[in-house]
Amino acid sequence: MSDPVYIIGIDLGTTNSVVAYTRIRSIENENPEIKIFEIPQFTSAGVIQKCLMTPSFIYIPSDQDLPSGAPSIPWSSDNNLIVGEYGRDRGAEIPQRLISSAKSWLCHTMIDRNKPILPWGSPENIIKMSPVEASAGILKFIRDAWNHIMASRDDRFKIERQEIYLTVPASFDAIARDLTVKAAEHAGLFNITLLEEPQAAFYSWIENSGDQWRKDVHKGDLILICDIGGGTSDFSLIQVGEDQGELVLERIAVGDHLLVGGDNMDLSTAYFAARRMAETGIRLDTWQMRKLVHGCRNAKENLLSGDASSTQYSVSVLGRGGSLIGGSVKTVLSRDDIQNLIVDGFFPMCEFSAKPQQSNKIGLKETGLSYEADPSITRHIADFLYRNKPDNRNTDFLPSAVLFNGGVMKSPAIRQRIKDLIGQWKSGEGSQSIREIASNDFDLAVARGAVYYGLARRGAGIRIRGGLGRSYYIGIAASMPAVPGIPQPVKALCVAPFGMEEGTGDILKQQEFILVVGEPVCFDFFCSMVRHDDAIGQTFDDWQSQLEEITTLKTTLDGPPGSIIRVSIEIKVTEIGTLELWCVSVDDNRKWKLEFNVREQG
Amino acid sequence: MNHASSFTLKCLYRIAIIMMLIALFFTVSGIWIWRLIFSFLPLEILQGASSHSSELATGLAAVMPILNMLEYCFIPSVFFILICGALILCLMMRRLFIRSTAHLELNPRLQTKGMKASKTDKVKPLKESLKDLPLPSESESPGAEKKDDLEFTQRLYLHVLSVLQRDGRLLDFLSENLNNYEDHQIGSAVRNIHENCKKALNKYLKPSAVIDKNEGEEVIVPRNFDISSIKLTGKVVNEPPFQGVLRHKGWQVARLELPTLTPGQNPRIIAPAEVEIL
Repeated sequence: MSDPVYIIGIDLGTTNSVVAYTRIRSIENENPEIKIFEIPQFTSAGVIQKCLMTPSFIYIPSDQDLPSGAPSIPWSSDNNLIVGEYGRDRGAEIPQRLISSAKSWLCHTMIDRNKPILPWGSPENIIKMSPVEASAGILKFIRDAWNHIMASRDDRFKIERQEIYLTVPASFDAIARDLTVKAAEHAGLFNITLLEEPQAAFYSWIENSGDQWRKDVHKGDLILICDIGGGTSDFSLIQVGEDQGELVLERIAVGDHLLVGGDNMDLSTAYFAARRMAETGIRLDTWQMRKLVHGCRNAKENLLSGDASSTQYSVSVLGRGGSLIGGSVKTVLSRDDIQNLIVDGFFPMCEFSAKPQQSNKIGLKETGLSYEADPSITRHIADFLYRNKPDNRNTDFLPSAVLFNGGVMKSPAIRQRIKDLIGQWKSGEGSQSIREIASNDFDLAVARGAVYYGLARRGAGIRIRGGLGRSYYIGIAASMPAVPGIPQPVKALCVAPFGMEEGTGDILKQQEFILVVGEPVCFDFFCSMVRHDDAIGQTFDDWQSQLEEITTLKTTLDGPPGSIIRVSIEIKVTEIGTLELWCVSVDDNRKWKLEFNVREQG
Repeated sequence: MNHASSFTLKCLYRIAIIMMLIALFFTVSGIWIWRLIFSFLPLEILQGASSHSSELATGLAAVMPILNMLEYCFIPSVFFILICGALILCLMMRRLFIRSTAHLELNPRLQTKGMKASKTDKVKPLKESLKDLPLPSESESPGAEKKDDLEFTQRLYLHVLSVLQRDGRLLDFLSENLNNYEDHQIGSAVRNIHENCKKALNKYLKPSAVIDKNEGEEVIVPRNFDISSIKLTGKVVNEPPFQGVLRHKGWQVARLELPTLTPGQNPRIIAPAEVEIL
């Protein structure tokens, strides 16, 4: 294979995907230009236009959607899917044919992520895809567009041959990462490396500020990265240290995967407006409701834009069909309404020790995506910071700077609220005590940052030290005499500690397992977001309150059936950012990979 | 491919040289023929005849210097004309050659650039290959192609309107009878239409002012101004540069990217009728 010509960063978002790229050139060339690859996509029936952002929606067209015999996108290899803007808009009209938030389904533990289940809840006769296939579908769409535009005349420019950095939420666990890589392979992209989105946003800021960033952050700074997109929220903490006079960046904590974002805000505004209309006797149908959500998004953007002159905004839904004016309904939203709904609703002032409210356990819960029970993002931030607070320190562990990313953060009012709040936590000093690191672009930063990371890996820039975002454990039976009626206690064995770096590995020598050939081997697999100090090989008993059970690991040893093999466990954090566990025979070095089980978990 | 293109270029130069040789040949042989004609032409007879008739003598006296001059100018002029012809032909062929092999040339150039990774290299493949992006009309016969082209042109013509209708309901609004409604009703509808149409326009065309100054300000219109971007009104009597007052900023688009249209759509449809299946 020839050397890659481009470094490509793909931000495969929950609601929007962005692709950025740069040409690999000699190191002495100081300022590599990072460009956004505009992806041609359907914007309406029969019309293809190029867009900076591609909505991550897949619409499965019926025979009635396209003229007979016509392919969807001429260069597409997958003709029966419509991805992008038209997919999203058309899908809103026929929701049963729309796959949305494919990425969030990848980290959903209650379903089998390789089973064709999407579009969720659609009738039997519609083609269905698994979450992995759906993510692969979007990547294939990107691949075909790139190959058509960039590589139509020379195979060396084909995306399969380039160096690709694919961003994933920092909160993705080892299994979701593994599935993301599988989805990319499914789309024919084998040369990929994973990168956490908040880190990518930070890289983008470094790239944009040139050398200035070294003056903007100081040794001892703690930077909160607050990435709130359309459907998900993601947090990370980066510590600025110093090593031999050079600044060193280290990502020291990542937050949970939160399914709350800008779309929730638009919806809640729309429901508020609809209630207000209902008071005057106006009932809205689904079509009008959709238009209302659209109008409310405009209202939100306008009223939170920081423009003091806009104090109210009239949201109107025009009549459907010809009677546009006659059939139109309207309501007026004031800035106070939006302030109450969004700033106070999603970003309420709260104590540092506040915890997100848990939903009441309801016996029968619809499977679907597990949306957050508590939409208040600030409580999630508080919880995230509190959990990562070392015991010996109190408030000086709070971030001294914050970097915002994601479409929601375009609003100065929301940014101000978060700064105010963290300032208040820091002994009530107000927002002056926290600096905002100015992002250059809230929508495109992640893709651009991914490209910069690619350059950094080639030695042309600073890298953030990261490693694993959680500690991983397997369950092993404690050696204890069996007592009837009491299940055999299980101990947790740390197999991969927090911060274990990419490209490293280890072998658990002191712990040997005796496994029977031919019988499936199964380990319980746990992770922890908070136990950062465990070392590899450490075991402990009382883990129930601190570890989260994520899946099981499975393998079957081959060899003469019934025989017994002594194995130890080998752990690898691959260069591309996935976690692999292997059973290694102590006697003859044979290896069996332990596969993650992605089927539904209890 | 690199080899092929340099080969054809070489051919081109060879053709030019051959043409120049031919020119030289014709000039030399032309002089020789001229001399031959004059050697055979009985000039003395003509002169002798002129003594018989005074009209013939004056006629001959008028013609002789022209003939002489022709003899002197013939060599350089013919030579010059033929060389010019060769050059013009050469240029024309070169242009034809470039047009027909543009795509052949693209890749070798990139290849060498890729190897050298020169500083001026600005990631060409995107822009260049975009020019012939996606027209998927690969029809079999030229007649069908023409019909498709016409259809695409018609659809392009309606495209902006159809975007404004889709995103901003502009046509629905224009077709309303405003007499049926109160001003405040119209006002609230217009806000919505205005906002959505504006968003659509900004997304696809990004209109901006031609002269970005306040209206009413004095502006100077330079000598070689572009007459399509500045319209002069009032007392336009002298030659530019002019001094005047900006009355309208004008509009231009910052982004002009035609959409690709996939075949099989009815070119007369601006917005389809909607039928909800219950």
